[in-house]
Amino acid sequence: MRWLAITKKSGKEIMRDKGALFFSLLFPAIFILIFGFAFGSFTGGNTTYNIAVINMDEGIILNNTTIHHGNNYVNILTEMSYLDGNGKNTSQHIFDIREDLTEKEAQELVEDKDLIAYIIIPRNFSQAVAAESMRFVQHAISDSIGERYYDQYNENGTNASKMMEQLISDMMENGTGGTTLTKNINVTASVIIKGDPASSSYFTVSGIIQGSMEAYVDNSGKIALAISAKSLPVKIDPGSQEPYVIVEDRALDVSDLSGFDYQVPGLIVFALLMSATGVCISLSREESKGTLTRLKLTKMSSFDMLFGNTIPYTVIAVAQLFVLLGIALLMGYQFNPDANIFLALFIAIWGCLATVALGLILAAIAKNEDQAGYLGPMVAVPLSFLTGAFFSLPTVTFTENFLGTGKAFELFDWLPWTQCSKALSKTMTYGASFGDVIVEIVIMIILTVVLFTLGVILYHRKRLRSI
Amino acid sequence: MKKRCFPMSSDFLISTHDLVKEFPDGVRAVDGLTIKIKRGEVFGFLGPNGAGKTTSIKMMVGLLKPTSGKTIIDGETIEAGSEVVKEKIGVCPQEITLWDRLTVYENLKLIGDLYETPQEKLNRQIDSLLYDLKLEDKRKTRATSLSGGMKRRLNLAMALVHDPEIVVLDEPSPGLDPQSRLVLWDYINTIPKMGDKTVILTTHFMEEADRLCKRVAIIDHGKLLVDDSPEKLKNNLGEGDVVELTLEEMEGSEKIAKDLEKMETVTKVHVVGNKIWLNSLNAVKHLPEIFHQVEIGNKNIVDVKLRKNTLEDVFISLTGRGLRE
Repeated sequence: MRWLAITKKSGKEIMRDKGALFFSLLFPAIFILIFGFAFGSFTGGNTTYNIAVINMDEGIILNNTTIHHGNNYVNILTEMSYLDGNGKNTSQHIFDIREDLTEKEAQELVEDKDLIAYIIIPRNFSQAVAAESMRFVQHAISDSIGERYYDQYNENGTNASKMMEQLISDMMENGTGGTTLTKNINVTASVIIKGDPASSSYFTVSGIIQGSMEAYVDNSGKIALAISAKSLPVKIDPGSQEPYVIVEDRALDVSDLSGFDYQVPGLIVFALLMSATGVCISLSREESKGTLTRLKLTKMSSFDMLFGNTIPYTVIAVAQLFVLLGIALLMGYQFNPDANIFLALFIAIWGCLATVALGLILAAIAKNEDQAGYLGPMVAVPLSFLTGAFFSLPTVTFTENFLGTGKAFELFDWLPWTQCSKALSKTMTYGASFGDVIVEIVIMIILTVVLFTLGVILYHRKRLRSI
Repeated sequence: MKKRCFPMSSDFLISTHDLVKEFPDGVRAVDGLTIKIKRGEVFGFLGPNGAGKTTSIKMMVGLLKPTSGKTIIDGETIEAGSEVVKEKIGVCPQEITLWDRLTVYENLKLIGDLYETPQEKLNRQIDSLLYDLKLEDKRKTRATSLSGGMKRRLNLAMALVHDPEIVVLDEPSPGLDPQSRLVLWDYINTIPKMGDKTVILTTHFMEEADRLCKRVAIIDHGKLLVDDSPEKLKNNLGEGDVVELTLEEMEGSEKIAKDLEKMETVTKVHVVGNKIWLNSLNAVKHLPEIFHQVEIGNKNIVDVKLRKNTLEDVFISLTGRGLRE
């Protein structure tokens, strides 16, 4: 078996180049350390974000009581903490808030990257929250009246309409108990969040603030309704009976997995893709050193050359994978407890094979080691982003039901690493079973075989064929 | 992939017929090359840089497709990449092409395996090559740790490890010290005796070609200029052997020189004092006539020196002194 001779040759060459071997294994280690640091693994899995609040809210007087919604909301932000695996609050707060800054000072700190963002709560914030609450109460009462009207109509015919008109009139004139309903309160308050849009943390902070703000306003309405409902002449579902101000988990959507935990499957795919450069350089070296000419003179075929090289480089890629996973685990990486780790490994190994196939194609294009050194990252880095390993890409759907599987097939699904990234993420983060990811695995295997075949054809045409 | 053209000739193992190679940039590297190489001979392929030697060799071994013409090996027209060619030919490239991180044995084993040489035969062949090329004690040494001479010898061994019928040696000895060169030359001399092998040798060392080759072809600008044994070329081409005559006295030497210049066999005469230098093709054969001519002039010769025409003289006379690169 000629391919076996090539496998032995390349295997020995890789193992004997201790420096290159060390760096190839060191690369994923450094890589995961940097990402772990960037995505919060060093802070117990989660990051506390530095923000500032410039609270100009003047409050509102309702029924002789002054309410400061701005202060209430800032208190909520201050108290927000991450949840543990059992859904209980931990001692780690989400925000470290400064309230002693002017807008100019906050702006300077953001520019210096000492603050992720700052929030400006306007003077009329409380009025706007109150207006929103009233609108919520009015809407709820109107709904209730409509239902009542319908019931009365069924029971008493047209006489019901007169009774309902009276009921509405009473409510508007005499109040609903604790709170006076005003017919028209048109107040708009703009809460401004400012930060560096180049910072990924800014988007996280902005998302949490927007979500918690919506939750706060929503709850204010429910609470106003609950108070109003006590004395309403009609029965209204008061909704939540929670305290005046609360933080709802649904708004924050913070689970026990950190950003780093979510990133690890994508990082694996990224690290795998980067190893394509090594394959490309090694094969190009055969050309540069003239040893390829010697190989061409033998009976070796393109398949022997490429398949023979695929095996040792796949072994290296798998070793890199273990290093990456090992260090990630040491840094506190938590995969889903239901995750099938053998399934994840199977998926990753196919990802390795696809990457080696990519390296073969690149080696067919690069004429020497220098070109290979540039070409590898030039292709592998953009590809790693196109796989959606780090962020979502624009959706361009080819079909909503790919081959009857019920799954959509999108533009970048043609890349085996996209399938690898999806399958790994589902398996490791969400604990998907083999059956759940079989479509991704099958597509990935088919695409890998296609890629390898393409590599063999290209390498033969460009490097091994006589001209 | 192979076509039977004519019955196998026992005399000529390789022949090229109007071989032409024109590259896409319009350069015609080989222009109608027709040569025949006998089975079991060491055939020298000489020419200045850029003459088309390596291109011709590459077409002969199937690494390059000819633009036109053909190469016939053992009665079969070969095509680029043909397995038949691969099995029959072993090539020792000009550059040292070894896998530095593999040992001497592993380098040889790799090539043997890729030629699918049976393991027993391969091991015998490796042992024999390591012994003959004085690399026995370097068997387990990585190629990167070998000296230049050892690398050259290993480079040659790799062309022979699958026991090919035809061995192509593309400038096998540049950069070698005299001892290493002698080891290499001695070994090359033995190759034809190993089962009637044929050797094609390209070289810039005329001494190397002269010592090793039974026949040489000199090509320039892609065309064959001459094709004969070194002896015949030296006797028939160039300015000939140089004969240095020392006369007893200076007086009359100019007249003797003029008389010698008139001889048909003498191509050039130069005189300084009582010494006369003359050029003559195959001078040994013509020495009696030359001595006779001096005697006619009543002069006595006190000393005679003869420097034989060299292959380099022939080469320069055919290809000129102009640089090609």
